[in-house]
Amino acid sequence: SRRTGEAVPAPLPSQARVVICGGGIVGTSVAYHLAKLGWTEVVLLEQGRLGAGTTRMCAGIVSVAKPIFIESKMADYSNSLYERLEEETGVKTGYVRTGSLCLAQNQDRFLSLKRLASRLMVLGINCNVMKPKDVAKLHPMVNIHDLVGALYLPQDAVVSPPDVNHALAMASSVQGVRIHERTTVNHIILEKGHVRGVETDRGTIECEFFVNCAGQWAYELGQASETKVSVPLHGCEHFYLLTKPLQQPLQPDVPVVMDMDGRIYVRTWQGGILSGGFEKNPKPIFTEGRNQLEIQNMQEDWDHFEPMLSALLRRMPSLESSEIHQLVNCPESFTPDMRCLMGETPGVHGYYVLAGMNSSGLSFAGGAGKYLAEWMTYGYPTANVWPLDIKRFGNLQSSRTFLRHRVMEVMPLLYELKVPRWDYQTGRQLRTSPLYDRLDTQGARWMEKHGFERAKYFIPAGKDLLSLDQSKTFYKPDWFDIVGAEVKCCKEAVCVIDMSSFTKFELTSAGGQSLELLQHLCANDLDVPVGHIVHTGMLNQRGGYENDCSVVRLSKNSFFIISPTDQQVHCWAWIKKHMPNDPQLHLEDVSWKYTALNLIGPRAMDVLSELSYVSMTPDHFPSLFCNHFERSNYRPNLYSNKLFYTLL
Amino acid sequence: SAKHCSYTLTPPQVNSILKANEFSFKVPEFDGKNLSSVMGFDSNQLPANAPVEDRRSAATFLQTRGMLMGVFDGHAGCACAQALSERLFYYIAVALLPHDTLQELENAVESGRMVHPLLQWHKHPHDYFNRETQALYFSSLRTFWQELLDLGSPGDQPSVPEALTSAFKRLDNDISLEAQVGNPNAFLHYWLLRVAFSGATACVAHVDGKDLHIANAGDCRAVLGVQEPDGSFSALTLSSDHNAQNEDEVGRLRREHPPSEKKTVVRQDRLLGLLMPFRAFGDVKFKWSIELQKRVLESGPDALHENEHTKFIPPNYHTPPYLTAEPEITHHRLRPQDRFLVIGSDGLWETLHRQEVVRVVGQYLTGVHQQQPITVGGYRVTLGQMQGLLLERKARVSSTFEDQNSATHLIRHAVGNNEFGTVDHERLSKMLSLPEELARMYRDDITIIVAQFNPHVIGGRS
Repeated sequence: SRRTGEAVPAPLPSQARVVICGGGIVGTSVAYHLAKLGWTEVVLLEQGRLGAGTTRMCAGIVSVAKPIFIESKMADYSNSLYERLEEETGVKTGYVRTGSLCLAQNQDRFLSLKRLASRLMVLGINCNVMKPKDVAKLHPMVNIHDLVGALYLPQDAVVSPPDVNHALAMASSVQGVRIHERTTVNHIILEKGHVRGVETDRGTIECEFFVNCAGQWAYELGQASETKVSVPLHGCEHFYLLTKPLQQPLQPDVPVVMDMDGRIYVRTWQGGILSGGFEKNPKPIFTEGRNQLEIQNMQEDWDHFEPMLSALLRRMPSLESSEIHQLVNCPESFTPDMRCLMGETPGVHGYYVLAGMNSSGLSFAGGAGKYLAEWMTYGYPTANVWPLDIKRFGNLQSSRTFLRHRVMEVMPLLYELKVPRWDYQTGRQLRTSPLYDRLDTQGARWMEKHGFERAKYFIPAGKDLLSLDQSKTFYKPDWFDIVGAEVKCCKEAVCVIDMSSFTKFELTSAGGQSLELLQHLCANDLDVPVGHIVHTGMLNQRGGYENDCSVVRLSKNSFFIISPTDQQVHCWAWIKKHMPNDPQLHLEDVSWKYTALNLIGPRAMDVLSELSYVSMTPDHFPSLFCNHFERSNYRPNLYSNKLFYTLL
Repeated sequence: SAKHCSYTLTPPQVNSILKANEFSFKVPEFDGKNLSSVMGFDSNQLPANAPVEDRRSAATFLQTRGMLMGVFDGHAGCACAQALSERLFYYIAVALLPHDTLQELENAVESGRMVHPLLQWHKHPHDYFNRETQALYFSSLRTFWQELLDLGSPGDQPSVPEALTSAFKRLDNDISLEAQVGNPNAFLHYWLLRVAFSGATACVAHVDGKDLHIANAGDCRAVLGVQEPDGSFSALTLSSDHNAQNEDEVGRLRREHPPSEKKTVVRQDRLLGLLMPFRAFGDVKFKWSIELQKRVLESGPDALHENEHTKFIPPNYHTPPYLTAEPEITHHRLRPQDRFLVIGSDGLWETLHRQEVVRVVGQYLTGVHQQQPITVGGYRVTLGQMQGLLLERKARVSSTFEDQNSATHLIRHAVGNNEFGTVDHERLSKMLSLPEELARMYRDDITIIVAQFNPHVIGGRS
């Protein structure tokens, strides 16, 4: 519906190579980088105005203080991109290199900041670990009395996000990207598992590639195609406060303050301050899915903001007398593991996703857009984006209920200490082994991998369970000695490990196609006698590892492939991608059909011989060999693989 | 007593007073079986009289698994209310039983076989039963069902409204008769007279599936909490008060008595200028003829003669009875938006408006404390002022979580509410520390039952 007086929108092209949906900072960054890499016929569609979603409202901090290496690297690139954008396009982006101060109220936090510092040094990013009194020199308002130390990141910056968005759009359209606002994507047209086009409210565009950068709405857009695409993210309300200019206005280059123990961040904003945070009790939103209008109309919630306001006044007591300008409610989308979602979707060729920025969209957009453009151009990005690959999630992690529960845990975690080997508590028991209950009653402590519950270790009798559950530390954890004893048992006696979570595929064919495919995909020779097991990797063209697997030759033309639990989607997609379209070649996911027990230790053979009438001497059952047992008539399929891993 | 007033109770002391009589019952569920339309109830009682004159009862009618809940507000002593709390549900149960089941019951009693209990009581330890009177009560009850058997015929299935009405009237009649007949045991005789000469109003709810029946006689009240589509709660009153504020009741009384009494039957908003409720159990002073009253009192135990109240005959007492225990029956078919039922003695309703009662309970049960959200708008507010305001609001919300019982929460509001509809601890503390002789001047006994409905059951199609 057009209002009178407004320009008639340019007609949509009927054809394009790439259609990007979403005109926020992420979508424009993808368009910008595709254009840079020489792509033509790139069309970007936005249902409202450019940057009208979360981009319009976000706080505008670009920081490299991120929990994993690739994220810091993306943020570092974004920073340099935004810095040069003003010169490149002539659009003012509000870029100010303020630097930022990450404060530590306790030793554990200080330790985590030092760990961050060492990661950043590898990236060549300048940073200083400093004492509280040095903080006071950099920021006049910070109360340092309860601080242990801080990390100063001098290169961090603030920008005006809508202006960066605008600059990226300008630069893209100069290079030929066609941008259409007020155009809603209704449906993605697929054909034989490939993207063929998009249907919009203003007509259809044929295309080879589609990029879902729809932010909050990426999940629903993923559902809008014949083969549904899982984009596991969920919205949460995010609040920040704006004050009126202070009586003694802060300099525009005073550093951003990140007080993670107080769950808040603070930056200068038009002579006043902007301060938001990640509360313990987040408010999920859009569970039912909403339209664009909702985002314009978000309600302020002062009662909800109280803990963050109190933390702010504790950190900067002199703000008490400054006046409120506004409390902004800016919805952000979060993913089940705090990492963004990037890459080609497993089921549909040419369908890419970049979304779920976990409230760091501005910091990531530049780098993530670049890597996705490289991915689409070369098949691989120039950096290892493995932890961000959307293929780490399966359909199980895409239910709205699961996501709603999980994001309520994820959002507070953003500012919590991230100690090694920590497990999510929500959205558990999506998949369990048939032995789950028996192991649980024996004191198993559980971890989750790809939705599957796996026993981490067993609590010995008489241990204080409470302290074990709370053992979040960078130092030697309470479970260390328990696991030590279990390892000793594996090495010196015998243990059974429930490995049912592992991914299992069966590849069969009428002729030699299955062997041919595996010989193409895998590094080792798979033309072995029936019954043999080959441990191998599936490599890509550059010799990199795509998948780690054990392959059993069950018969001349059928293979049993065992892969790590979390490779279920990735490995499937990798094999499918390289599988010729041959009706006689068949790949089946049989993960759920088999329970796997790993019998391990020097006495394993003794145990096995007790269980079977077949002889278990090395002559009869050599190493790396698979036997099929008919132990009893009610358990027809029992494979026993003899496989020796070398533990390094 | 200035000394008394300056004394303030600490929050834990306040809580121990408020929680002394609280009781909760949850209807057990097993894997979605035995689903009841009532999920459970909370009840509580705060005395103003010493001893308290209100009573409450709740029981599951085992024949249908329907739930009976009642509040009884006594006056001129607690004897009548106590008797109702023990007896009325048995009368209702018997009146509800099909003819065939009654016959089985009679046969079992006749042959001395074990009788299956009719009711499963849900009682607070303070809700006692009088041991001495049980045999007498049972014999009256048995006479009642024997008459029902004589009057009815096999296959009869009594309707709920009829059963409630007949139970109310029958019990009041039995109370009256027992007092007239007397008892060789002096203690029992005295007790029966105390029951008959004191009075009590009654409001009883019977919930069976989606059918909710209220039987009310007097000025206790039953109010339904209805959740509106926007989440707020509104009150639907399911009983009418039988007092001077009810024009129908005034009209009824004037019709039932000669025109010459038109001015005297209701005076100063009271029955014969004396009694607030226009319907009640007991109160034979307003039911018996003057001769009967005199005869019974003369033959009664000496203890009775010392009680001036009993001997006093109301003025303009020409055409008794002036008072009835016949209940007004309301039927309500439960809808998905009906969330809870509050039955309270008039002590509750005179301190809190029914809309406020429903708001307090609704917010308590949903856990949402819909404080008006704060907006800054065009005002100049500093961060410090805002923090102060928010911390104060937080403290206010957390006080509501002190109660595990919605009836207790309601009493806290009824006694401690300030003009903003929030609990003022100082006020609450002062009200609760009033000495016995003063308490009755500021408030009445408060008795509350809050029953919560199961939306999955009443929202279902069956």
